[in-house]
Amino acid sequence: MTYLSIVFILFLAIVMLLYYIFPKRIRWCILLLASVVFYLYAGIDKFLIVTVTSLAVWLASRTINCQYQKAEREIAEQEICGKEKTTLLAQYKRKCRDRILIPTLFLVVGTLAFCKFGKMLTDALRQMFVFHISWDVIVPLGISYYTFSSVGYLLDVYWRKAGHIRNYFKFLLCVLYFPQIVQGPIARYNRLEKELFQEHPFDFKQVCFGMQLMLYGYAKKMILADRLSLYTAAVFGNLQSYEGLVILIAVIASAFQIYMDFSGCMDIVRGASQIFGVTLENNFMHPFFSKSTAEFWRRWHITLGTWFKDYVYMPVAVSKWLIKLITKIRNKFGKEVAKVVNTIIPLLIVWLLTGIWHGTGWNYVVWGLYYGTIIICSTLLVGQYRKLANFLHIDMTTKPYQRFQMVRTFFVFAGGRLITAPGTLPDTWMAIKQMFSSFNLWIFWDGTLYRMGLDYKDWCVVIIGLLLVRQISIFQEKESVREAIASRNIVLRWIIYYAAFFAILIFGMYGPGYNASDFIYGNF
Amino acid sequence: MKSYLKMMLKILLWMLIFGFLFVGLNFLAQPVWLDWNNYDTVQGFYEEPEDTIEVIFLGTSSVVNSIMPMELYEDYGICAYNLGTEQQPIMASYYWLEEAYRKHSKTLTTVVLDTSALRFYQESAFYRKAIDRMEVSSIKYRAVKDYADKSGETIADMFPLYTYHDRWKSFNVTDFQKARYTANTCVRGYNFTTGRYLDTEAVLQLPLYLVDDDAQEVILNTEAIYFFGKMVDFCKTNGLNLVPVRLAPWQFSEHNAVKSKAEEYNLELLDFSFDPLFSEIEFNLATDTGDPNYSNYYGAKKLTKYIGNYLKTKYRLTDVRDDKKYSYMKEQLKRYHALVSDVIKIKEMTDPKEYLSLALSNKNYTIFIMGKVDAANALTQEQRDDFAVMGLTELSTLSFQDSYLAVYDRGRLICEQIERCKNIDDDAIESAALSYKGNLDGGPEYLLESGGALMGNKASCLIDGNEYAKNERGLNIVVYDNRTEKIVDSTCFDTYASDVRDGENLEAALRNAEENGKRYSQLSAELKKLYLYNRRCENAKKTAYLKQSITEDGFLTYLSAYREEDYIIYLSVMDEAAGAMDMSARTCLADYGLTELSALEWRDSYLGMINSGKVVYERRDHGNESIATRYIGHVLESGGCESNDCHSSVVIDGVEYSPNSRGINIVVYDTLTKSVVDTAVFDTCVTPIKVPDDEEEIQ
Repeated sequence: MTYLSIVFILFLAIVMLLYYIFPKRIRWCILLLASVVFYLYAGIDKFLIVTVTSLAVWLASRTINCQYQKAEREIAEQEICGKEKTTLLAQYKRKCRDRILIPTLFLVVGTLAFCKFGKMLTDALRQMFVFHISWDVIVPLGISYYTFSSVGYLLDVYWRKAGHIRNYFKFLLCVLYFPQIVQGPIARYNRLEKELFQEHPFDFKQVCFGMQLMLYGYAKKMILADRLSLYTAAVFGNLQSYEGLVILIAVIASAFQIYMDFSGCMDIVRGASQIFGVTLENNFMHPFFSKSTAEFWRRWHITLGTWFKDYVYMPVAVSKWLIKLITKIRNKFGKEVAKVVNTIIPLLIVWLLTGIWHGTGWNYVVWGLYYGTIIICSTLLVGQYRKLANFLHIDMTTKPYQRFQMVRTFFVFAGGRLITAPGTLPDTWMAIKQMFSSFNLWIFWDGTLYRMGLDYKDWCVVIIGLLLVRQISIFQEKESVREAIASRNIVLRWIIYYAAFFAILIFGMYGPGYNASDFIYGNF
Repeated sequence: MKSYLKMMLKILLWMLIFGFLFVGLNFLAQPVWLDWNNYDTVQGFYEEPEDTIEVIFLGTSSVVNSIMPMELYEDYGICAYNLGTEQQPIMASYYWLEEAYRKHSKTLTTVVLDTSALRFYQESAFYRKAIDRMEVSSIKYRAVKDYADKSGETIADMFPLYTYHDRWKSFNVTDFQKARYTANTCVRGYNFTTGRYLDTEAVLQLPLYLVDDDAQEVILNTEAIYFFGKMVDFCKTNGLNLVPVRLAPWQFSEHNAVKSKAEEYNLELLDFSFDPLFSEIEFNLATDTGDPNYSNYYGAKKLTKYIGNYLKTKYRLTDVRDDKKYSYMKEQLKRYHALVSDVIKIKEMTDPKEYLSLALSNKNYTIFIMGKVDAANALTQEQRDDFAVMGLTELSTLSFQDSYLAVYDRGRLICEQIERCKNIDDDAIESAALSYKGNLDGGPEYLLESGGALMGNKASCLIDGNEYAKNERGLNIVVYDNRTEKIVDSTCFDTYASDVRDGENLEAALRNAEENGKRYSQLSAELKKLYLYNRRCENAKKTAYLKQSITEDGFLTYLSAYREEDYIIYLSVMDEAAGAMDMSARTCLADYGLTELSALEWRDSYLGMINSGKVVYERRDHGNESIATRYIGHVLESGGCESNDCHSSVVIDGVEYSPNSRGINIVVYDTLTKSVVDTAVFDTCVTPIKVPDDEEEIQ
C-alpha cells in the first residue's frame, strides 16, 4: 500500500473515522491495529520478521531495565555509595552489555545487514560455487528506519538516557506506526511514545492542517518529483547518447527530484500523523537555503543526521581507543595534528556508514567519502577561509555572498547526486566525461530538451512549481504557511485548497500508462 | 453543539463544491470521440426505455459501420441496438452484454457478436473507449477492474480524470464543443459513412471468395477466448441466442480459427467475407466499403438486410412496429431518415437541379455553390429555368467560363454572385476569383471562392479553416447541416461535360449504363474503374472456384473455362508433355483447334495461344533449340526435353508468370483488365488428359 495509492487514502479515512469514534484511552489500539493491517498488506512474512525483531529488542530493553532496577535495589539494600556504587553499576552494565545488548544489536543490525547485502551475498555465492542456490531475501518494509530506531532505543535504555516501554504492544506500535514505517522519520521511541499515548481530543484545525500538509506533500511528489524523474531516468538510463548541458540539467533536476520526492513524502507522513494528533519529527528544514554542506546535512534528513551524531559520532568521539590514539598523536606530532585526526576519524566513520546506509554499491562508499571529505575540509579550513575572505575584502555577511554560498552548497549536493544517480561508478565517470565533452546551449531552442520525457509544457509546470515551492519555503522560514492561510477569509482559503487539490489531479503524474515512481527513500 | 453543526455544514459545503468541480473536470477530461459515434451510441442506449431492446450487436468498428438498427426496425420491425465501438475487445463486449441485459432483461433475446476481436490483443485505449461511458454500476466496476493497469486502482480508473488528466496539454476547441453537442441517438449505434474504397488511391483488394479449409488456424487471443466463453455461458444461462459474425474480409487462417472456436460451442459463424454469403448478398468491396474493413452505407444496407432476414426467420423476433410501447421508434425513424436516408437521396441525385431542389427543401442545411473552369457548357435550358425558379437567377444565366458562387442558408438565398468571363492579365488571375465571407449558425466562419478558367480557376469552400470543396471542373457544391454541425456532402457536377452525373450509387449507375447499351469507352472514369474492378472480381471468383474443382487431369475443362471473349490463354510446354496423351484426348484437342498440340510428340517443345476462344498461334518443335514467340508485347518460350534449354516462360510486362514445371504450362491473361488472371500447369507427361463427357463443355 503506497502512500500514493487511492487505497491508502481510503485506509487513512477509515482509520481516522475509527480513531475519533473510539474513546481516547484506547485510540492507540486503533493505531496499532491499523499499523498491523498496513504492514500485513506488504506481506505476512515481513510482518513476522518485524514482530520477532521488535520482540527481541523489547525483551532486551526489559531485561536491561530489570538488571538496572536490581542493581539499584542492591545499592539501596546495602546502602552502598561512592566508588563502590559505581563499580557495582559498572558490573551490571558490563553484564547487560555482554549478555544482552551486544547479542541483540548483533541480531537487529545483522538482520538489516543481511537484508541489505543478502542479495549481493547470494549472488557472490552463486558465482563462487557451481551448485544452484535459490534464496530470496525478504526485505521487511522500512527495515532501515525501524532498525535504527530500535538500536537507538536500546542504547538509550542501556545508557539510562531513556526509560523502558513497559507494554510490548505499545512498543510494537512505536515500531510499526504506519505513517512513518516506510520512510521515516527515524523515530526516538521514547519521544514518540509520549506523542502516541497521550490522549488526543478531536481537533478540527489539526485534522485540516494534517490534510493540507499531505496535500503539499502529494503536490511535491506527484507534480514535481515524478515529472522530473521522467527526464532524469531518460538521461541517466542512456548516458552514452547525451552530452554537455543535457547531463548537467539532469544532475540539477535529479537534485530537485530527490528533494521533492523525500520531503514530499515527509509532508505526507507528517500530515497523516497530524490527523491523529501525533506530531512527528521534522526531517527537512529547507536544505537548499543552507550556506554550507555541514548546515545542509543539519537541514536534510535531520533524524538520520542526529541519529548518527548521537549513536555513532559521539560514542566514537568519546571512545577510549580514540582518546588513547589522540593522546599518542598529540604526544608524538603535536596538538594541531591531534586535532585534525580527532576531527577526521569520527566524521569519516559517520560518513562511511551514511554512505553504506544509502546504498550497497561502491558509488555509495565514494558518496560517503565525498561528503566526509568536504565536511572535514570545511571544518579544518574554516580559519583559512576567513583569512582569504579578509584578504580579498569579501564581506561574508552580505546577501549576495550568502546567495553565492547557497548556490555553492546546492552544487556540492548536485555533485553528490552525480555520484549516485547514474547507478554505478563507471556510469558516473561516463556522465562526468560526457558532461564536459560539449557546451550544447542550443538544446534549449532546437527541441532536444523537450524530447526526453518532458515536453515544453512539462518544463513550464516544473519551473512554476519549483518557484512556488521556493516562495512557500521562504515564507515557512518566517512563519507557518498553514496558519497564515487559515487567517484569511473563507473564499480565498477555499480557492487555495481547491487549486492545490485540482493541481495535483490535473498536473500530477499518475494513472494508466504511467507507473508512479516509488519514493526514492522508500527502498531503505 | 452549534460549532459542531457549523463544522459539519462547512465540510458538507466544501464537499459539495468539490464534487461539482470534480464532475466538471471529469467531463472536461474525457476524450472527445464525436466522429466515431461513441457519444451517440452510449447516450442513445441509456435514453432507450427499459425492457424494449430485443437484439443487440456487439463488436468492433466493422459492426458499428455495418449494422443499421433503424433499417431493421423499418423493414422487419426488430427493435435492435448497435453497441459496437472502435476495436471493441471481447471483454468489453461481454460487459456490454451484461449491461444490456441489466436494462432489457425482459426483452433481450438475441446477441450478434462481431468476432473480429477474438484474434488479437487490443491496446488499453480501446478498452477505455468501450467502457468509459458505461453507467457506474457493479458491471462497470468489474469491467474496469479487469482492464485496469494496476491492481488496487480500479475505483480511480472509473473516473475519466484519473485516466485522462494529462490531456490538459492537448486541449483544443473540440474539447469544449462536446458541451453543446447534440447526440444523434436515432442511428442507434450505427455510424453513417459514404466513402468509397473505389475512390481511394489504394490498389483495390479482391475478395477471396472461397475458404481454404486446410489453412493453418491463427492463435486466438487468450483473454478474448475466455470472455467469449463467458459470453456463451451468459447467453445460455439467460436463454439468449448468440450469433457470431464476421462482416469484413479476413484471412483463411483467421476464419478457420474462429469457426473452430464457434463450433466448440455449437455456434454457426456467419462469415460475410467468403462465399456463399459474400456472393449471396452481392457484396462489392469497391462500392460497399470505405476500405475493406468498413462498410459504407451501401455495404451496411446489404449486410443489415441479410441479417434482418436471418434473425427474423431463425429466431422469430417480435414485430414491434405497431406496438404502442415502441411508438417512440417512429419518431426516431423520422429523425433517422433526415440524417441518413435523405442525405443518401441527395447524394444519389444525378441532375444538379434535382440535387439542389432536394437539398434546399431541408431547412437545416446551408448550401454553398461554386463554379470552377466552366460550369455552363452542358447545362440545359430546362435546368436553367429550374434554377431561376429556385431563386438562383444568376446561375440560370451562367455563360461559358463565368465565375459563380451562391450561398443558401436554411432556405434563404443570402448571396449570389457572378463574374462574367473576360481576359485579364496573368498577374491578376489569382486575385480575380469571386469571394464571399460569412458565418454559419453557431459561429464558424466560411470563405467561398470561385474562379472560371481565366479568372482564378478554382472553387474553394473554407469552413473554420478547413477546405471542403472538391475543387473540380463544373459546379462544386458543399452541403452543411447546421443541426449536426457536420458536412453532409461535398460534390461536383461537371456541367461542362454533361448535364448529369453518375450519382452516389455507382453500382446502379453501371447497371443502368449496361442496360442502355453503353460501351466501355462511353463510361465515365469512375464507372470504367468499377467495371474493371468487377471484371477482376469475376476473374478472381472464377479462378477460386476453378482451383477448387479442377483435378490434375482437367486440362480441357480448364481451357474451356477461359474460352471467352477478352481472355488470352498462353500455353507453353516444359520438358515433356506428351507421355500420357491418349488418342481420345488428342482428338478432343484437335477438335478444339489445337492441332499442333494434338500431334505433340515425346519431349517436343510447344507454344500455343488462344485469344477470345480462338486458337491464334501454335508451334511445335523437336529440335535442339527452344522455341519462342512474341504476342502483343508478351514473350513466350518453350523448351522440350530434347532442346538444350529445357524450360517454359511467359513474360508479361517484364514479369515471368509461367510456373515452369514439367507439362503444359498455362497463363491466362485478361485483355480488358490488362492483367494475368491465373496460371496453372498440367503434367500431361504422366497424367492423362480427361475428356469431358459432354462435348459441349469443351466447345
